[in-house]
Amino acid sequence: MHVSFDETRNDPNAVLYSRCTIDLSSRDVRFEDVPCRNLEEVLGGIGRSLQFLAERTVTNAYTPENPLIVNTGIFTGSSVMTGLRTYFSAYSPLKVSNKGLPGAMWAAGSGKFGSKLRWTGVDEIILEGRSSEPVIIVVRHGADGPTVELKSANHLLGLECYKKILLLNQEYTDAHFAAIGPAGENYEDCYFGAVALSTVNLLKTGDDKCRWAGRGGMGSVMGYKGVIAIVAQAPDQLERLKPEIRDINRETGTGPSTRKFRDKNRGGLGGTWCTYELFKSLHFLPQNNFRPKGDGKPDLLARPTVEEQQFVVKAESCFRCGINCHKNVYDKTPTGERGRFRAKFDYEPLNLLSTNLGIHDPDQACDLVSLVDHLGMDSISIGTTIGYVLDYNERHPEKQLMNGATFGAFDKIKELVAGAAKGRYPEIGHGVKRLSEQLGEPAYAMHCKGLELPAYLPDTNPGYPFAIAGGHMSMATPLVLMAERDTSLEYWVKAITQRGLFQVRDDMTGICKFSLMSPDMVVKALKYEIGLEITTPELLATVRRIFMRGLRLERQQGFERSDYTLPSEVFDRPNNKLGVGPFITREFFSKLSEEVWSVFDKEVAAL
Amino acid sequence: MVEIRLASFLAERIGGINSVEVLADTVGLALHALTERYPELMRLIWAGGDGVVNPITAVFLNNDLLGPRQLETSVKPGDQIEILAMVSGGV
Repeated sequence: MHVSFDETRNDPNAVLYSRCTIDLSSRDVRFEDVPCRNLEEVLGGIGRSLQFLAERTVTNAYTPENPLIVNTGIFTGSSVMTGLRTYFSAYSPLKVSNKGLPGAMWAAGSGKFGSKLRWTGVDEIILEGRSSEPVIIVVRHGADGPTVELKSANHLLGLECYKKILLLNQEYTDAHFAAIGPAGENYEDCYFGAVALSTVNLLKTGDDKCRWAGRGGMGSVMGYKGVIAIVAQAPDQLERLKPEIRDINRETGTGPSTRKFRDKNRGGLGGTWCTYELFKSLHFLPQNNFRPKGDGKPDLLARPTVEEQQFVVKAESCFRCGINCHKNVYDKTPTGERGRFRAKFDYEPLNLLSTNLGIHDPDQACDLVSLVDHLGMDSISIGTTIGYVLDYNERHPEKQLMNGATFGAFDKIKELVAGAAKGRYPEIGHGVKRLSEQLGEPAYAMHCKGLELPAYLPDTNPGYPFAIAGGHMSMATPLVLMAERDTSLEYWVKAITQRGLFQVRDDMTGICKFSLMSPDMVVKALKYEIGLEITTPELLATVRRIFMRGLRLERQQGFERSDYTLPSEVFDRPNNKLGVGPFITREFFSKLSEEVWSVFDKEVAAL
Repeated sequence: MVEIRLASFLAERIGGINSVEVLADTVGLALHALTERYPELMRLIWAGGDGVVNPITAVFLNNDLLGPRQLETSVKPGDQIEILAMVSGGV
């Protein structure tokens, strides 16, 4: 990225980002410096990709005309702590309007790949067309600028994600990697393939410690295009840490906002996993396809319980991140020390691949979480879709699906996971919306707009349908009922239209959502790290605009009011075990929608 | 004065203010002083207005996590209280 501000320190045109367009069909490679048209593009990530996608007409995710955009944010590869994000954007095979058109989508992940990509001199790769052979894209930093080479990926086919990365690491020094797994290779039968991003820890230990760009099937789009892996090879290029950025990093690493993610021995609360303990009192924890039973079984996978058993939990981190949010679970040796690495327990994968499937044994949970990672799937989509299958099988003992798995049937569930990635169960691999509609029972299929719900009950979050890229990453309302217990219409309209949508800020900036930097901190970091001077209101207006661009893009792809709804059992079969509610009646949701759209419609029209 | 530092989830409710100084003798009184000044935080910090801290809230005094029954803990000038909501973050 080139910045050439003169006296105007906030001119988007003064920022040029480096784009590399690779036509996989013809193997043409083109580099260009692209001037930014607005602040969204300056910030990067979806600020660029959503505008790019809006210029395309795509009616099927698996067509050569669907570009896969791999890009970074303005802080990726900078000295700002957590500035590590890589974004993968495309029309999604999973997110779909009721008219059958694919929705624009993105997934983001940390690790060190994004930084290395920036250090090659490339800010954005546009993958056009489709390769006839499986390829590895090698992007290198060179004396005369970045270079790109396409190489055969035949020797990687069929390998698990982290094994592909370890093999590539033997071939390429000083590089980091993005790779798909068997699920992405089987893109026709699995729409929720993820992209694995390498970490320093993975390359050092050989353990499966990837980070993930999981949502929306970006790994499946990559598989369709025949791209098995991307290598970013460049020497590290961190600049000298400025005092102002050091202060921001210190606040991020030690301040109150990130305490939740830090480990207990560093004054934290132990990571997202502590949500298990938090949800206990109100029975908010998804169990048996998002249907809490109030039977205390979720406690069996709370962190203190797991640590009392045969496991050691170690907090580890991405490159130079002081938050250490990774809670890696190891077997405990007879002497009480760390043994074999088993899995990384974050709240979402843990819940959706264990408690929500009726699994309460930590050993089995480790197996399922690591299996999903090995195979390269989005843990939310696979977990939630299998939850539906198990629910269906319990409701219909006379006509059970697939292998007849029901809640808690570990071996059968494991077989469904592996089968979904390897193409044996395309009904699962195509996601819960399509499966439930084929079966004629969509009422308890936990998704909005084809994207499976994360591990927060829809009964507690009427904001889900308004998220533009999955309910917890792009609309910050999943937990606010727990926080304030306010069920008024006025509260929820504000929660969605005035607070929740700002969740997408860090889908542009390149910093991790877990940094929880205040808008003022971001503005300060832009000034001292980049030289860009904008105000906090300008930053917030930019975030708001990109959210509206996302909504407008949904309309372009045929999403209508009827697409923005919740699973109907939320309205028709309220769960009396919940400590709050039920409050989301059809009447409530209808009024909420009216009021939310009365705000959003005007802003979308004004773009 | 005692400094109360607020996590972003709370700070965003009061215009981004993330540090507030109050006069108080105990942690509980410091929190009451905070919510008197910023009623927008009342529900986030006090579960039902009955002196019980919201279970989603974690309170630290000089880096030590306090339990719900430790609001009577004395504070002195220069002490630092941190309040965070355990509800931020997803994956």
